[in-house]
Formats: sequence, structure tokens, C-alpha cells
Amino acid sequence: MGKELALTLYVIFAVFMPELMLILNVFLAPRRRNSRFQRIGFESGQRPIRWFRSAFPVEYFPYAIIYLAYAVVGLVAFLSALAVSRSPELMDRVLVFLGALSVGAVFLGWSLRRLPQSLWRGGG
Amino acid sequence: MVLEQILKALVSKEMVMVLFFPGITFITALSVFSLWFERKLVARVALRLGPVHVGKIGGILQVIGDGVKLISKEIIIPSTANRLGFILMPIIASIFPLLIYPFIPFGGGWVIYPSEIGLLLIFAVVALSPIPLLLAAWVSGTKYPFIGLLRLAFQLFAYEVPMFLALASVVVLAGSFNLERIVEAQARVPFIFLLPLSFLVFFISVLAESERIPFDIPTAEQEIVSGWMAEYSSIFFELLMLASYLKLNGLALLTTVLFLGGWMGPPIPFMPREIYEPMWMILKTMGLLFFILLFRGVYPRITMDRLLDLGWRVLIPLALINLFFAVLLAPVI
Repeated sequence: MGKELALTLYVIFAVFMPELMLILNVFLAPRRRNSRFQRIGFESGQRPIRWFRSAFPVEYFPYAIIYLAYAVVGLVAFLSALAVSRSPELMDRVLVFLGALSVGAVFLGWSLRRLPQSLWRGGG
Repeated sequence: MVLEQILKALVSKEMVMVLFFPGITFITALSVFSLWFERKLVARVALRLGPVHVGKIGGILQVIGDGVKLISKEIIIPSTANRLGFILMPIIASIFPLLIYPFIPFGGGWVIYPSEIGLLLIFAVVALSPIPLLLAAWVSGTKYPFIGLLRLAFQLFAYEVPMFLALASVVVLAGSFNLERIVEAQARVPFIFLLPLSFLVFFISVLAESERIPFDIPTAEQEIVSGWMAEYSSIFFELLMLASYLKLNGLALLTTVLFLGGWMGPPIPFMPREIYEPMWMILKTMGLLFFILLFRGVYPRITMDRLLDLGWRVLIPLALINLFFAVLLAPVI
């Protein structure tokens, strides 16, 4: 039996294990329709209040933008580090690049040190 | 003969590996054991006894009993939920962490699928695994899961980047994505001593990715009543819990392979290599799991702003500095 077949079998087992548990649940669990009270969304036992018109501040939105920047930077750093392990003559340039990235990241971290607090208090 | 071939395939080493060790049986047993171990450990930290009644040794069958109980409970789907998504998402969420395991080597030859790009495949699975969780929260359509969803998204995406960068330093030192090569590169010195910063960053990211205390704010029980999985009960709750423990164990095994020298350990007399190698691997993982589970008993939960602060402002610069030193160190080793 080859490795590929073993992996295929493993994936088949992995995919069918949750379904098997669900089928067991169908046989073991009481079969009845959920009552009206059971179908109410959980709100600590209170009657749910309407919410889709209320404002919901997403305070941490700036972090989503930082994520976009850092995801690209992380990918580039990863690829350049890999390039060194393939061709060592590039090492000095990659070291300069990674050093600049590290200094930049430390500087950014330092200059953003007030960011969460300013979000918390709303401005300033 | 077809029958002979089927029989031969059934008793082959690969089939044993898929079905028993390190396949489905072992993985399920490990997650059941770690759940029991956590309950016992946290109880002892709090000077309680933990489960005692079911099972001869320390209530070890309690977890299985709880599992059977959850399987035999009625499924409740809230009227605000998307029914199809509500049923599908816990199933998909518990499939993803299972796909971490076939690439993890438990010893020389003890791996279901030895791949040249094993580390990349595992990282792809780990990076994909939050998506069904986010969708599971979204299809519930109520408020607690929505708040949990926002927290989960911010937390998981904040800690994926430092995790990725910490992996890069290991790849640079070992010169390969193959996990067996990575373990063999640690034959003399485990990478935890060469790359302590990398281990720190990776370990904290693992804690955050698997939502362990102090990073369990998406499922904070006391404030948002288990957050993104508040609406899930019965079998769906069990599948989501299984998924979270499978992910935790998978990431602990991966940490052992990457930093603690994998199956490398002193040989034990009168024991064949095929047995003591997986034994060292499991012992190291258990040691690591001990610390991860202990944190639940000794640390408080941190707040959202501190969590994001730590991820973006501290761990990413640390990971980049660490990558710089890894590139500097690579020709020496």
C-alpha cells in the first residue's frame, strides 16, 4: 500500500468521523420538533432585543489595516529568508533587508504604543 | 486474488498507522486524555479533586461519559440561524484540525504521509481552520456569537503573522520544509536553545491560536457565555470542543517537532528504536501540554486591547529580529 493511498484513506476517515457522530446522534437523541421557546436565540434567559439597527462600534478597525501591511511584509521576509538557505551568496543583502524590517517594526511598535488606549477612550 | 490483496492491505504497516498509531484511534484517545488531564490538573491547582467517580483510575472515563451524554442530546437550532450552515460548520470545523496529523512524524518512519513540504501543508491547514469557526459564529445569527466572532477574527489574524515568521526561522536553520529533516537537524542541539526567541513567539502564538487562557477572550465563559459557540448544543458542541482539543494537541506536537527535537532522545536499553522514538515524542508533548493546560489554572484572561498590543507591537518585531539572527546563524550550523 502506497503513501498516497494511506493519506487518502486517512482523509476519508477524518471526513467521515464527524458524520458518524451525527448519525449516532440521530439514533440516540430524542426526536421531536424544537418548541418555540427552544428556538429563541440565547440571551441569558431574557427575551431577545432587536439589535440590527443599533450602532456597533468596531474599535479595532485600524488593526485590520495593519494586518494587510504586515501580511505582505511577513510573506516577503519569509521568501527572502528562504532565498538565503538556497543561495548563501545573497546573505549580506537579505541581512540588510531583514535588519531594516526589524528596525522598522520596532519603530512602528514604539510609535503605536498609544494606539489601543486612544481607541479605548475614543480619540487623542 | 483481489481478496488476498485486500487482506494484505488491511494488515500492512500503512493501514495500522492510519487506523491506530499515529492515526484516528491514537488522535481521538489523545484528545480525550488531554481533556481529562486538563480537568484533573486545573482541579488540583484549585485544591479540588476533579472527576473521581466514573472509571477506576481518577475518573478517567468521565470524559467518555460526557461525550456519550452530548451525543444523545436533542439538537436545538435557533430560529435566527441558517439551518444548513448551522449543521455543516461544526462538521467542517472538526475535519480541519484532523488534517494536521498525517504530516507529523512520530519517529523515524512513523508518519502517515512523509512530504517534502509537510510544514507548509500543516501551516495551510492551521491558517484555514479559523474560517469554519468564524462562519459557525456568523450563521448562528444572534448577539453573543457575533461579539465572539469579532474577537476571534482579531485574535486569530493577529497571531498568524508572528507564527508564520517564527516558522520561517526554523526552516532557514534546517534548510528544509520536510518535518523529518527538521527533526534530524536537531540531533545535536534542539532549536529551542538556538532560537529561544522563536520558540517564545511560536508558543505564545500557539496559545492564542488554540484559544487557551490567557487568550480565551473569544469564548470567555464569564462575560460572553462561551462567545462564538454560545448557540451550539448537543453533538455540535461536542464537535466544536473536539476540534479545539484536536487543534491544541496538533499544535503541541508540531511545537515538539520544530523546537524540542521531536523524537530525539537517549536510547533506552532492551527497547527497539521503533518504540522508544514515539515514546520520547509523546513524553515531550505531554510535558508541553502540562504547561499549556496549567496556564488555565494560574493565569487570568487578558483584555482585547492588550492582546492586540502584544500580537502586533511585541511579537512581530520580536519574530523579525529572530529571523535576522536565524539568517546570521544559518551558515555557522
